Amino acid sequence: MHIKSTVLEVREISKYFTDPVKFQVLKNVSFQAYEGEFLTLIGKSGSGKSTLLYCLSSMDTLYEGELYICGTKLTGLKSNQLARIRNEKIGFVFQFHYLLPEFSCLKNVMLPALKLGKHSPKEIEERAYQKLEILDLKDQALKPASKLSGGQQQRVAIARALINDPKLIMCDEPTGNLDSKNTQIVFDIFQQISKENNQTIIAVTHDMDFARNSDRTIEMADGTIVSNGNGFNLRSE
Amino acid sequence: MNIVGILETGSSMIDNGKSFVNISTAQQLLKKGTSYVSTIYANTKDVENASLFSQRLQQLTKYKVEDWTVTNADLLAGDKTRSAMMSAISLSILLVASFGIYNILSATIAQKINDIAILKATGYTGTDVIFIFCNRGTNHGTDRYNNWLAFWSWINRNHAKKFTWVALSGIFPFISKVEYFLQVFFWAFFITLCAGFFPARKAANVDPVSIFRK
Ligand SMILES: Nc1ncnc2c1ncn2[C@@H]1O[C@H](COP(=O)(O)OP(=O)(O)O)[C@@H](O)[C@H]1O
Ligand SMILES: [Mg+2]
Repeated sequence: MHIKSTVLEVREISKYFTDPVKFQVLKNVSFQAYEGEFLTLIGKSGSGKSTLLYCLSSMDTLYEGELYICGTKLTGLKSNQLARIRNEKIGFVFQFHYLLPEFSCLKNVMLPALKLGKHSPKEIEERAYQKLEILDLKDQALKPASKLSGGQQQRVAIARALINDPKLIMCDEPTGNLDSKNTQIVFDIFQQISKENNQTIIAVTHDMDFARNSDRTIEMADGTIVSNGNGFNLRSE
Repeated sequence: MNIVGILETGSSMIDNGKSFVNISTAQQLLKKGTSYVSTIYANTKDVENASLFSQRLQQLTKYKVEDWTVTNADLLAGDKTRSAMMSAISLSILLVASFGIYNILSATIAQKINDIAILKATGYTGTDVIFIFCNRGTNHGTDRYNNWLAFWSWINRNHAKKFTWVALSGIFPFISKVEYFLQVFFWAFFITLCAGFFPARKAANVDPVSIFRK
């Protein structure tokens, strides 16, 4: 095994909710994720997976501890700086396919790139078509997002997460609402982009097969990490 | 003496109390010589220049020179009050209209809160959100301005030359000064910018996580 660079570093992250009573959701969570790694996060419902993911995505800033992405310390940055980093370095896929319903699939995919402004709108459109093609959705590109099936919408959301070629892609139960066929498609895409493009994927899942086939699995319980990788990595056995 | 014609101004106080004769008849009636003149009225090309001219004329003569703004000071004061009232009415209409747009945008934002959260999650900043909604607001403003302009052109083309009893000129007093159009555009733009800005500022502070948690 050769050493790969660290894309995400989580140092002792703790988080409390105060409503309705004060309780600790995350308890000194620490781990690292490496370049090109396909990481899954499992654990019982309520164990804090989504909460952790929101902290990692820089959308939630009310936590203790430190968070580094690609060597940059995110903890303590201003919201506009975080938005910029999120735009460039992080792709996020939500549990429920959150798309802008009136916009076409193509426009939905283009949005983060239009904000980044690294390419001209013409190039962005081309790139968006490429991403949709990877997800086998090219023929749906011009339909409004609300006219697609659940599985298709989920894949559009993945295409959107990929558009800026982020170093990190985070997913909260990306296959939670999908049938086994679509789950397989999503899994293959994640496998492919982590191996071919060296992008890092962190996916929360309930699907044991999905987790077992990923590179590494972190298991959470009551806000702490109870197992990290090795024991779970059946593929290397 | 013969009546040779009747002049009606529309004001009965003038029509019933005044008649016109030529100047030599008037001098004879008053038993004065041909050099007797009590008042000379003079028109200036530009009415706004009258007081300037009166000052200059005053330097040339020992007689009293008075321009129309002094003669009609009470009328002008009434005019000032009237235009102040017009401004107040216009301003209230403007305010009501802008509250309408404010409400439309507040409702849109409440409805689109999901979309705003998604935009923020994918890297759009609060400033971007404010920009988007101010832009929507001023679109309303320029739309309204264009409607007004269309109405104005229509009424100007079809009705401006029609005879009415408005003022002595007999036709609607239409004034097409560029600054009036700019003023209307400025207010339409500015007030809708405000109507967009305040709800947008609320939207800009939305915490996407709290939306996704629902
Ligand atoms: N906004 C909130 N206020 C208070 N408690 C919350 C809030 N959001 C989540 N929780 C609690 O935090 C715990 C972890 O939630 P979550 O991260 O969604 O779990 P998971 O995604 O692993 O199912 C749960 O017990 C949940 O009830
Ligand atoms: Mg969850």
